[in-house]
Amino acid sequence: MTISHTLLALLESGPRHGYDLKRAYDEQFGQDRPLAYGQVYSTLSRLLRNGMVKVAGVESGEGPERKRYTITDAGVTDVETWLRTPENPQPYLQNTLYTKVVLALLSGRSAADVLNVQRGEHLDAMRALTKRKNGGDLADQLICDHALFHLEADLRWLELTAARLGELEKAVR
Amino acid sequence: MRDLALGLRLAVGGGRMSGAALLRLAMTAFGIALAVAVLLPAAAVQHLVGAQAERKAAIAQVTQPRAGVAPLLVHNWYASAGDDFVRVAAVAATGANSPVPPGLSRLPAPGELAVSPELAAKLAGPDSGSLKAQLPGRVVDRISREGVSGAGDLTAYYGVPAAQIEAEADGRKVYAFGLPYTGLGLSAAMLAVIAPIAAVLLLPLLIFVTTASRMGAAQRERRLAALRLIGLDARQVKRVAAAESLVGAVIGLVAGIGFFAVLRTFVADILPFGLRVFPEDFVPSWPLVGVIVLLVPGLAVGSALFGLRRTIVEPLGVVRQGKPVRRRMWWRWALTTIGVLFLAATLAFDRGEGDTAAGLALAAGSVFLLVGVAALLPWLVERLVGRLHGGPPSWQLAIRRLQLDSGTASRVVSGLVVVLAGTILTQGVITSLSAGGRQWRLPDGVAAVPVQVTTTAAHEAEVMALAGSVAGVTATHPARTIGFRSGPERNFGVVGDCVALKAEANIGDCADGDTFYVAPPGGTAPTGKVRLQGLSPAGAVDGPEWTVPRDLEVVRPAGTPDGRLLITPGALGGLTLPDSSVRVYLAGTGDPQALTDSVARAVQPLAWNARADKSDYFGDFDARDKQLVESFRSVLITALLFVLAVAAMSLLMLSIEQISERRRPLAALSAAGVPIGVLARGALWQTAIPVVIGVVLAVAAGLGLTAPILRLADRTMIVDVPVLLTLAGTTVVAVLLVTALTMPLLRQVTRLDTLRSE
Amino acid sequence: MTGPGTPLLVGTGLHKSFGPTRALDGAALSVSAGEVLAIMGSSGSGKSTLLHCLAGIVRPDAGSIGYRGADLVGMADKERSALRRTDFGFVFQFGQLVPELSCLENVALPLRLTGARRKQAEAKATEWLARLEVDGLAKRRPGDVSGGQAQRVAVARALVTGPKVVFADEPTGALDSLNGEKVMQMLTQAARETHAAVVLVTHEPRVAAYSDREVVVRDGRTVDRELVA
Repeated sequence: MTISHTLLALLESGPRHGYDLKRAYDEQFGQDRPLAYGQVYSTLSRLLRNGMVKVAGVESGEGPERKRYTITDAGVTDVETWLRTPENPQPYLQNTLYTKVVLALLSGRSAADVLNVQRGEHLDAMRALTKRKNGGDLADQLICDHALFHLEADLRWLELTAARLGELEKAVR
Repeated sequence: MRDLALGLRLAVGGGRMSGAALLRLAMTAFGIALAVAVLLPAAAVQHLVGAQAERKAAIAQVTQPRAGVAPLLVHNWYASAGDDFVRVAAVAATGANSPVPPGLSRLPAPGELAVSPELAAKLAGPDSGSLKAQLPGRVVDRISREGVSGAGDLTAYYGVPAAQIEAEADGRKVYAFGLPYTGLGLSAAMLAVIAPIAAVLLLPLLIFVTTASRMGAAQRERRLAALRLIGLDARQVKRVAAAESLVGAVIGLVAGIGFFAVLRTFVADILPFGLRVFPEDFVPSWPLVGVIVLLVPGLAVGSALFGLRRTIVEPLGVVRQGKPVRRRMWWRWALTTIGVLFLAATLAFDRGEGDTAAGLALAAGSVFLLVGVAALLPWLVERLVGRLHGGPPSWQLAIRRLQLDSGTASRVVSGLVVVLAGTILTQGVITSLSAGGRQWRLPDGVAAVPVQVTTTAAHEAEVMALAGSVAGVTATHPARTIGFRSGPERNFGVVGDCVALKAEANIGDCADGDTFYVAPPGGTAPTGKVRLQGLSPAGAVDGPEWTVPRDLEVVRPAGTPDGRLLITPGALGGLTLPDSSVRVYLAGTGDPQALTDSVARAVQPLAWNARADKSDYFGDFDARDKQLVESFRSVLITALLFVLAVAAMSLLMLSIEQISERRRPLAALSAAGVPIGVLARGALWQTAIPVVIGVVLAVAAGLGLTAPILRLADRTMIVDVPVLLTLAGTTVVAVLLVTALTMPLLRQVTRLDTLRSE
Repeated sequence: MTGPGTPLLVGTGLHKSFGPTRALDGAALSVSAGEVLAIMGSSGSGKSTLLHCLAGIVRPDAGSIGYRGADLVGMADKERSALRRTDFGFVFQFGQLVPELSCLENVALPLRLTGARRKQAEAKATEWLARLEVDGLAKRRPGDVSGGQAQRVAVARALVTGPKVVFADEPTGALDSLNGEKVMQMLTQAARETHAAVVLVTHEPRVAAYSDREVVVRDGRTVDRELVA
């Protein structure tokens, strides 16, 4: 899910070739795991099928055909919605969150808002867990505490990132 | 060196000092300045006394013959007017190289008078008429400082022809001036008196200085603990701490010396009891200055280090409220008990009796008791406060605070207690002693003859002529003092007409030919034959025999136990009396003092051979006594107020310290809506309770000590209520003032800054 | 009668500077009766200042704070002090209990200041200490009990007068996890039982999790959850 949205968002700034997209992705997000060409093309063809992107042009030349893709209005809306909608709070979310922040920065949108909204969501989840914990038995308490600690870790990261937005923006652009 | 520099920087705060650090610096400096300003004059006094003794030796008259020196003829006598006693030396040279007294450039010629500086000042002032009247000659010269022992000395040299002195029996030949100076010879007794007084005055100052240098202890402890943790060893940290406290000490030292220098310029004007000093004498001797300069700052630094010893040893020691150290009580009780025992021992003596042993027991007992009481105060405060509970919130805050830690406040008040008790004691003794004195009364006949001239038989006729011709004098009545002995017994009597005899004792009706005997309690009149003697400075000279008349009338004495025979000329039956001292009573009109002055002027040519006085001299004594008591009282009160002020300042510092330490809880209370009035009242009670307990204790101790002393002196105790009320009132004011002065800090503490936890 | 959900304490347009530092720069929030509101933000963001303004401890340079129809900003210091005595309760991070009074006396103190007699005040205080499970410490001094226990005593003191709003500034800041949790749980529970609102300043998410709603303070301004489009 995330990869398709990421590629879509990267296309927002302008039409790109497939390998351009991969390069861009790797630059921002692929430090540990570069994206495979196959995955790029399969994601692109899915997006094409769903009408999120369309082919802008074909360049002929040596090697396999190079299609240039461009984002459609539907695609833009999709990216908007995705960025605006908070993720379901669960552990090990930071990849997605990080991606969202960077993409927001790249596309000139307010990354602070993204963080804001996510924080609220996290807090609500923590509230629910706290209520459950205080009403439950010892097993409940232990489980909830575990989740709470992880959520707290995420929240702290959100705070830190919010404080670092300025630097991050410079690094990304 | 680096450590000292670091300490200095820490003390000064690296540019911007916090309010608390500045306050501590100011307080330490002030305390030291005060201590120095008290010690330096004390040292100066010591030097002054030495200088005076030195000059006294220098002007001493040497009567041992020296070859080749023509002696100076000298006759010393005293002239007096009112309170002033002038030592006059009549001088006459016998040769060209007769020694000149120190302080004079030349000997006064006959008829000339050279006066000491103080005498010159008195003669120049108002009311000098009586004094001028008593002095012979005219003033031409002044004795310089070298010729005078103390600045307040009234001395004069009067030039006379040599023959006049040679005619005197007690004239002397002086070959030189100046005896070797053997040193001050401060007797052990004097030292034993001075040392405790000095210690007692200095005790509050000491406490003040040590309290000041311990201010901000919590902060400083943290700072030094931090230094320890980063690797400075104990010695280095001690140096740093020493340097920190040295800054304040040095400032205080400089300020104190400066204050003393200023004091010196007008010291002459502010001395009580009419004392006078030469400013040049009022300089402390260098060794003492050195001691003071080293000792006082050393004390401040030492106490600061002493207070920090715990931190230096274990820097990680948490500043938690541990259990308060158990007081060691035994020595406090021991001191007090010893004192009480000494005092109880004096009960063994009967009322009114007593000797040196009793006096010593009293003194020792008083000292032990005073010190013991001061030492017991902290325990007493703790006990009393421990029993208290309940009351409004402000009271509760104060009581609990004291229950937690009353030690420091009690220590401060202890110093005050000692001085207070000592003052009450001294005041009580002085007042009671002076008030209960037996009244000396003069015979009623004195009123008829307001002036008397004392002279010798040789000059009697001249005196009668001169005095009798003074305007206002209506009659002269000579009375001759004679001795009479029967066997080994000697006594004396007065021969004169009835008017004169009535001035000597209350004899009732008198006619020429009567004889009276003024009988002491349990004394019997002499009977039978007695030998009359002429009395003079040269001694007693036997004269004719005389039979004591049988119809002798016995009368009671007016004042002192007597034992004199009063004889009218008629009773002598024509016997010629040997030459003897004569007192010429003069009846006259007008103001007695003015009349006396006129007569004195009239008999001036006779110099020492005639002295004119008021017959009623007791009036002067009474006035002088009262003045003395007043001066003494004002000195005591001044000392007391000084000590009270110092103690108040110590309490102020403590109060400030405690508020600073509790700023967080106080701020939290204020945030919770506790009115600042409650907090202020709490601070008030906190200061007031130890002080009130201390004052009550001091008054009880002071009055309690006065009783045995007066018992020994056989006087009734008179409680000087106004003084006690003044003390009480001043204490109340002091406590209120201290609380008022902590208000700004209290206000500041309850403001926002302390609440910010970020 | 303020029921749950009606705004109790409303601050608008609050500005406050300390010398050159601007602590509040147009902050606003509202607290409803009975709710637990968390004020979050990093150090230096101005959240404590906001709390102090709302509680009437500090007067803001500009803005208004409405409480039950009156404006705290316009009130004299004496009136605000009285209000704090009767209507507000406070819990701070540390150092708030008077060290020389016993725990019981500390809790009874606010009652005594409103005129209650010692016996009644201490009886009520004992009740509250029992409620917070620290009644065994009644006679001990704050310096002799642990941090967590002291904080619970502080909570008791805050609640003993039955305040409408309890202000807590980093109440668990000096405590370990378990003690912190206990304190937060007891605080919110007791507040709910007495229908008191709680304004809680914290930077810890797990503490904020005890609240019903949060407001973030950044650079002196309040940021609500809703996205600014």
